[in-house]
Amino acid sequence: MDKTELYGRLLLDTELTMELRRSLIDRAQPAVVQQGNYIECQRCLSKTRKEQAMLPNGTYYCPQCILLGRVSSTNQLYHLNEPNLFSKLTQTPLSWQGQLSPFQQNCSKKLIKALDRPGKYLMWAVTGAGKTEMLFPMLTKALLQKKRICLASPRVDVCNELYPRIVAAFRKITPVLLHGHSKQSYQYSQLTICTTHQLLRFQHAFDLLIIDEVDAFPFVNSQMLKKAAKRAMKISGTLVYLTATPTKNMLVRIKQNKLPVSYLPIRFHRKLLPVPQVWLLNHWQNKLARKKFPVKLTNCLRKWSKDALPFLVFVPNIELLKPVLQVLRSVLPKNVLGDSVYSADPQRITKVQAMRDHQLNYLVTTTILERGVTFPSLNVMILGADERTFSVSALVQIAGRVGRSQKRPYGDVIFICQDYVKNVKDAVQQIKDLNKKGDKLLNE
Amino acid sequence: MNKCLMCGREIKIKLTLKWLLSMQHLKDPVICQNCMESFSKIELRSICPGCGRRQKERRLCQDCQRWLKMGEENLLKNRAMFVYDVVMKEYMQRYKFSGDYQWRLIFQEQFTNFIKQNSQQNYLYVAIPVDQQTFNTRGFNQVEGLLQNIELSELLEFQTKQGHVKQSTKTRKARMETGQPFKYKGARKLDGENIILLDDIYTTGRTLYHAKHILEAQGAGSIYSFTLAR
Ligand SMILES: [Zn+2]
Ligand SMILES: [Zn+2]
Ligand SMILES: [Zn+2]
Repeated sequence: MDKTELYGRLLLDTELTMELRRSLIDRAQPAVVQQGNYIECQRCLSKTRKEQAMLPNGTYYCPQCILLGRVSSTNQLYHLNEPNLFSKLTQTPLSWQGQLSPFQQNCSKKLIKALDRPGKYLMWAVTGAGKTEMLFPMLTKALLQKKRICLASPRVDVCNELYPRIVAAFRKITPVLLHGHSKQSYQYSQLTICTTHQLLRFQHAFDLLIIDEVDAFPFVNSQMLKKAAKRAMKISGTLVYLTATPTKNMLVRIKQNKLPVSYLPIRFHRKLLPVPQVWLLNHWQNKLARKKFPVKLTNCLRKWSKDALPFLVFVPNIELLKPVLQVLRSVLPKNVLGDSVYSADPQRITKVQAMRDHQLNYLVTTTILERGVTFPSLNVMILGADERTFSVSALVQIAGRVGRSQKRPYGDVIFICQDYVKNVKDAVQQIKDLNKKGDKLLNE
Repeated sequence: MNKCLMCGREIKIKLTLKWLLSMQHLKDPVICQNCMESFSKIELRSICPGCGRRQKERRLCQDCQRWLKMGEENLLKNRAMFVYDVVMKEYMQRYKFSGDYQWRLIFQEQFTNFIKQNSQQNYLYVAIPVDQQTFNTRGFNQVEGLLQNIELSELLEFQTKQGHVKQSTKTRKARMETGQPFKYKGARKLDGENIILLDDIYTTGRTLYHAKHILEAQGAGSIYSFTLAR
C-alpha cells in the first residue's frame, strides 16, 4: 500500500498498512467526536445518541456505517488531498464505435455544458433511453481534462452492469470497481465505479460524480449517503443525477428552476413506452389461498408461455413468493420453468443469470428486480399493484422492463389490483405523459 | 415508528393472536416480525437432552455420546433457543464480529426470559468470559450483552499464557484439559453451589465443558447451561 491509495480518500487506521500509518501519523484525525449527548462519526457524519453508541468498555461506536467496518472512538481517520495525478491523454480515450441518436446527442451536449459548471444536474431519461451511452461524450471530455470521475449507484447490480460497458468503451482507462462483494482491490484510478455506500471512503476526490438510479433504495431515503456523496466531491465539482423516475422533491426543484435538467422522453429505438393494462380483480388473494388463480390470469400466463416469451411476476411481499410460484407451477405446462427470487436470496445472481440464459421462462419476484435488469422480449405482471410496497416510481420502473429490445419494442404490462389506487393511476398517467412528450418529439 | 434493525423497514405490528401472546411481556420490538421469523426456534419437546440440539427424537446425539465416552459423568443438559443456521450465523457475524452492540437488543429480553423461565431457584449464573484482547477491540462481552438484569457471578477468567505441560506426563483427566482456556476467578472455593453457564453458541460443547471442569474442581454442585443458539 502506498500513499496514492489515500488521495481523495478517508480511511480508518485499521484500513492502512502499519508502514503507511506510521509515515502519516501526524495527519491522523479522531474518527468519533463527542458533542453533548451525541457522538458524531467523522466517516459518515451521522450523529448517534451516546446511550446507543456506548460500549461496555467505555468507548463509543457508530452503528450507522458499520457495514463498511466499525468506526469507534479508538480509531483515527486518514486523508490526503486529491492531486489529480493522471497521465495526460493526447487523444480521445473513447473506443466506443456506436452512434447516438439525434435525441441522445441533444441531451449529451447539455451534459457536456454542465461539466464546466459546478453544482447539480439531472438527466431524466425514460427507461431504455440508452443513458449510459449518452454519458460517453461527457466522460471523454472530463478524462481529457484530467478530471477525476466517479460513477456511483445505490444498486450493486447497476454497478456490475455498468463496469464492463465502461471498460469496453474506454479501453485506455483502467477503471476500478468497488462494492461490498467486489473482489477487486482498491487502486488509484481516474475513473471509479462504486455503490453509493463506498462514497463514505472518499473525501473531496471527484471533479465529476454521477449517481445512476438516484431515486433507488437505499440512497433515496438516506441522509448519510447524501452527505457522503456531497463530501466525496470537490467543492467545485459537478454532480449529475440519472434516473427515469425523479423523486417528488426533484420535480419540485425542477419547477422552481433550482435543478437544471435535460430530458429524454423517448427510448433509443424510438418506440413509445408500453402502457400498463390495469385489471381489477377482486378475489385473486382469496383464490390464491385456495391454491388457485383467476381464469383470466391463468389464460394470460398460458398465452405468454405458449408464445415462448419470458416473463416476470412481481408480488408485494416475500411471503407471497412461494404460494404464487406453486400455483404457477400447477397451472402452466411442465416444460415451462420458473423460480422465485428476493433481495436476500443467496442464489439471486444465479437465478437472474438462468433467466438471462433462457434456462428459466419466468421468475416470481419482489421489487428487487424493478430496475437494473434487462431481459429482451419480456412481459410483466404485478400482483397487487395497489399494495403500498409499489410506489409510483417502482410501478413505472417495472413497466419499463418491457419492450427494451429493438427486435420487440413492445410487450404486455399488466397491473392486477383490487382497487384503482392513486399510485396506480399516477404511474399510468406518468407513462402516458411521457409518451405524449415522446410522440411530440418524434413528430417535430 | 421504529425501523427494523435488520432490514431497515418500518416495524408494523400485526395484531395476530400469536404475535400478541408471544410479545405480551416484551417492549417495543427492534426488528420486524418477518425478520424475527427468519430465525428457527427450537421446540424443547424434541431435542437432544444433553446439548439441546433440535432433532427428531428425544435421545442423546452423537456429540453427547462422545462426551460420555470421554469420561464426562454429567452432561450439561444445555438448552438453546434457536438453531445455529445460516440466519443465526449472519446475526452473530454482525453482532459479535462486526461488533454492532445494538444488535444485542434483538434477543436480550427473549433470551433473558428463556433463561429465567427454564431455570430453578438457587443457581449462580456464570457468563462465559472473552479474553482481554477481544474485549478491548470488540468493546463488549457478547454473552453479557444478551442478558438483562441477570446477576452474574464472576467465577471464570481467561488464563494468560502458561507453561506447557508435556502431553505424555498428563493423566487422563489432565489430557482432557488440554487447551483449557479458563481459570478460576472466585475469591473462595465453592461449596456445592449449583451453577448455570451462559454462552452465545453451543457448537461442539468444548468451551462449556472446559468451564464446567474448572468449576467442578472448585467444588461446584450441579452445572447446566443455556445458549442462544445450538
Ligand atoms: Zn459512521
Ligand atoms: Zn426486518
Ligand atoms: Zn447432544
